[in-house]
This record gives sequence, structure tokens and C-alpha cells, in this order.
Amino acid sequence: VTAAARYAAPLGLAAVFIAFFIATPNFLTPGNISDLLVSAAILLVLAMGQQLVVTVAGIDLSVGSNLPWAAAVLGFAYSRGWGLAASILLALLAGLVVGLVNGLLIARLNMTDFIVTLGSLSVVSGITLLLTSGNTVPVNSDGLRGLALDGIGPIRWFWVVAFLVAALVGFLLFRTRTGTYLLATGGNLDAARESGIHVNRIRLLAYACSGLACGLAAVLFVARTGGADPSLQTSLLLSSIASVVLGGSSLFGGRASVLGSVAGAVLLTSLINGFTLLGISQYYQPIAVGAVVLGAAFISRFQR
Amino acid sequence: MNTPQRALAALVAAGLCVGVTAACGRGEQGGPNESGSANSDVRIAIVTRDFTNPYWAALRDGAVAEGKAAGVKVTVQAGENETDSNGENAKISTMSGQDYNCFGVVPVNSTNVITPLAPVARKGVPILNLDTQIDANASQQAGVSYASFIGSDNLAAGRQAAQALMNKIPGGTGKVAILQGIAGEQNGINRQKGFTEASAGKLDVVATQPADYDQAKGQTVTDAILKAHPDIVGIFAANDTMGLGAAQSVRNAGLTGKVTIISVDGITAALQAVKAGTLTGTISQYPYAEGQMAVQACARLVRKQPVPPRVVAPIALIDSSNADKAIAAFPQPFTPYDNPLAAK
Repeated sequence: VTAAARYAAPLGLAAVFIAFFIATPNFLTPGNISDLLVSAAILLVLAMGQQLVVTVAGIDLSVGSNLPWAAAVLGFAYSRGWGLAASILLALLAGLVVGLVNGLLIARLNMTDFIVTLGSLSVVSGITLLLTSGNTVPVNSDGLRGLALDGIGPIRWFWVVAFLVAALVGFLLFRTRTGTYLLATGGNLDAARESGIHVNRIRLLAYACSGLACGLAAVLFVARTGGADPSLQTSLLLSSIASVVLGGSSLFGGRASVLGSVAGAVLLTSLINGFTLLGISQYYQPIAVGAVVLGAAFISRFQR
Repeated sequence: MNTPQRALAALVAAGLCVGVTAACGRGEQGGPNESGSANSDVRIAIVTRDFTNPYWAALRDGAVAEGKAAGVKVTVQAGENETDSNGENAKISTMSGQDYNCFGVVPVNSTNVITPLAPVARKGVPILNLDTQIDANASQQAGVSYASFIGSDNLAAGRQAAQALMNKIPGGTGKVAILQGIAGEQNGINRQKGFTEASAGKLDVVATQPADYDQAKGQTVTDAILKAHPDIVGIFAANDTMGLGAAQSVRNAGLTGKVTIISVDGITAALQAVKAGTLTGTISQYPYAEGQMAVQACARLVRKQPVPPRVVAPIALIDSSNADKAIAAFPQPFTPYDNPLAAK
């Protein structure tokens, strides 16, 4: 029963690949798959952060504004000539700080995760607008452009970043004691607390990691769009949650699948990519994405 | 059949359905975003911000119609909304891997499309910059250049809007408010600049507020402005959707006819509002014509014919005197215009 459900995302991904392969000769080409994976990288990094939060039975809605916020900090620092390395470091730090604040409010003050991150979604978006006066800050850097376009031979830098993040999260969750604590905290908070796990610290860690992932995703975002755009990234936020759910992780915590979330993120990106190749109207794309998420929810009923 | 098998079977069936329906469309006339045959020598990719704004939908329709008329392949794609820089980006990079031999791009902001266009430029495929100017320095540094810029003169549109407002306001002077678009968006900045230049010393701008090109926001902001400055006689909105919001607000306040409203774009809803008298006038731009010109320019570029480096799309003031004509001719301009790209 569980087998098909557990591998819903990889199976779905395979089905979508086959469908697009039949539909258009332009889909399964090295060039297009290379581009597809680059397009998926930003979402994938966000989904990995979201994965950790979902593992502890939480949700991080602040992703939608934390990413533009970290991007804006990068743009702010870079446009003042502080150098690329320092700017990137500041962007990572900016994302981490938001994650830490979320974590403190949720874990220490015991506030509801949904409301806290909904609140910070709005607050951080406002701070970003203040920092940038609502303008896009151009970041004209050959280094960042190289990050977006180049790589080691055919291996693009974006894949390397996304792969490393996924490997790190997978290692953390399934190969370390912290990972066991994360899963235990999400599975049953009270039981975990009674067995001596510092559940507050563990939950704080999850939100901090999600914040850091936003910072990293922001660097990729700026590299790809050549500037820091202060507008909310709602579609990335929703897709990051959808990827994790598609991957078979439980929103009630305690069950995580890094491979599933990766497949989920690539699946969502493939849908958009394939539809673009086929020239299917823009208006159908959200329907397809939503249908896939609903399908995943249906299949996860068979999971125990 | 037990449950896992059933789930798997359903999944495979679903996959096949998608495959089959999609396969049926292969090689045939595509959806509303596509025209022309795949084996044409000219294969044009046009990417804009989104299709929820009627302005970009009109650009798409113009490009697709021209593609059909000229028998060249045209595909138009877009992001999800006015600020979806990353989504638009993904569309460009997906299309850059295909065999399109000319690109026309409307950027979200001055820099977002440069990186994905770099591989296009490297292949030597000509690129047109449509509607909104892309940062020239950053482009050059990334090795991207544009064969031509096709768009309306937004400075002129702003100036014309100021002129229209002064003509319509009794006495030609008074207090006015400006509704701005998304902060930092170049077309909006130019429209406001043109407006300010042409109205300097004649109109007294008492409020300048951004309403993000959004109708509901335009209405809310105008509500607030009318409360703070009940004596304004005119409003300049940097696009039609905000102008329509302002018109609604003015009507709710019972001030229709007392507050003159001029906006820019010429979308259908605005033309209707001008006809109905809620909106005083709109400086109509012609995204439909812009889309047509983009396809014409691409066809010339692929066939190694010269294209002027800057093509200015027509604009016109639509007020109660010519709203009917404008609606009848929509989406085409109702007066002939000078098109340097038209086939001779």
C-alpha cells in the first residue's frame, strides 16, 4: 500500500517526463533538461528549507518575502560597493535572521507557526520595500552571471548548489542525531520533550535553516534575474510547500522525504517547462499544477 | 486488484492521457499563444510579463495575428504577473534552447531578462527590446545587444496627458493628483516625467501616490486623496487600470464631471469608460500594433533586411469625441500611422 504512495513524486515525475517526451521532441534534449534543472534550483533550495520546517510539523510562509528581502540586502550591499563576497554573506545572514526570529517566536513564545510566519511574511515584505524604496536594485556582476550561466563542463553551478543543499538536508535528517530529534519532535512533540529532546532548540533550528535556505535561494535569484526585485514571491512560496507535500512528507510532521521533495520541485518545474515548449496557454498552467498537488494529496491517503 | 496496483494504474493512465492529448496537438496550429507553421524560415519567440493585463494580451494577439498573416511561426509566452521576474526568466531560458531565430522581449524590470538572453545573444540570434527599455550598460557587459527597440514614447504620452488634462479642466489650471505605477518601473517613471514637464507652472500637483497599476489599489488611493484634498480638479493615472479605479472612486464620491481623469494605455475597459463619461480620456498606446511590428521586425531581421534601431509605436488621445471610432477600430489604431517596418 505504502510503496506507490511513498514514491508518488518520483513516479509522477517519470509520468510527466514520458508524457512530454511523447508530446514534443524538444523536451528530452540535453539542452532543455539542463535548463529545466537550472530553473528548478531556486525552488529546490527553498523546498529543502521548507522540508525541515514541515518535518517538525511547522510551516514557513515567510519564504515569499524572506527571499526578496535577502535579495534586497544583497543588492543594497553590492550597489554600495561592498564587494560580491561580503554582499552574498550579508544576504545569507539576512535570510538567517528572519528564520531565527520566526523560530524564537514559535519555539520560545509558543506562538502559532502559521500566524507567526504569515505575520513575518508581511512585515519583512514592508522592510524590503523600505530598504529598496520599492525599486529593483540592479546587480550587474559578471561573477553572479557566471554562477547562473556557467559550470564545470556541462555541470551547471545551480545544480551543484541545489545538489549540495539537498545532500546536506538529507544527511542532517537521516544520518545525524539532530535529524532523529527533528523527526521525533515533529512526530510527537510531547513524547519528544519527555524523552529529553530540547524541542524548542530543535524547532528553532528548523526555522533558522529555512531562513538560511531563503538567503541562499536569494543569491541564486539575483544571479538569474540580474537584480534584487522587492516584490513578493508568492508563487515560489506556494510551490515550495507544494513540492514538500508532493514529495510525501506529512504536514503534521514526523515524516520527511528529501528525495520526494526534490522530485516534487523538479516535477512542478517540468510542468511549466513542458507547457512552455508545447505553447499551451498560460491560463492552463496553474490548473495543471493544482491538479498535480491534489493528485498527490489523494495518493497520500494510501500512506500510513 | 489491490490498492497499490490500483494507485499505480491510475497514475500511468493519467500520464498516458496527458501524453495522448498533448500529442494530438503536435505539429498542428497551437493555442492562442501560437501561430504559423513549424517549418517556416522565421521562428519568432516573444516573451512578455503576463497575460492578465489586457495590455500584454493585446500585444500577444497582435503578434499572433501578424504571424498568421505573414505565415511565420510566432510563439508568445509570459510570466504569471507584472512582477514575476523569475517566471518570465524561466520562459526565456526554456525558449532559448529551442530553434527560434528571433526573440522579442518585454522585461519586468530593467535587468531581469539579461542573464537568460546571454545564451541567445551568444548564438547570434537577433533580439528585439519591446515596450520597456532594458539597461544598456548591464546588457553590454553580459554581451547582449538589441537589434531594435520597439515601443511607445512614454515621455510623449505623459506630455500629451498633461496637455489633455489642462484642456479639459475649466480654466486650464488647478490642483491635481498623480497615481503612479509600480515603483521603479521605467515606463511609469517616463510617463510621470513627461506629465510633470508639460504641466509645470500650470497644474499644481498636490498628491503623488503609487497604486501599482492595480485597479482596486487605484480606487483606495484615490479615496484617500479625495479625503485629503477635496478640492482637486484633475487626476493623472499612469495606466488605465488605475484610472478606472480612480474613476470609480470619483463616482462614489459623487464628483463625476467635476474631477477630470486622464490615464494612459487605451485598454477596452478604459475606452468604454470614456464613452460612458466616467473617465475623461486615455492616451491610447497600441500594444496590438506593437506586437505586429515586433513580428514584422523579426521577419526582416531573419531575412537580413535592415531594421531601424528605434521604432516608435503610435499613441493617440481618446476622449468622448472619438471613443466610438476607437472602440470600432480596436485593437487597431483608428487613424493611419507611420510604420517603417510594413512590407512595401
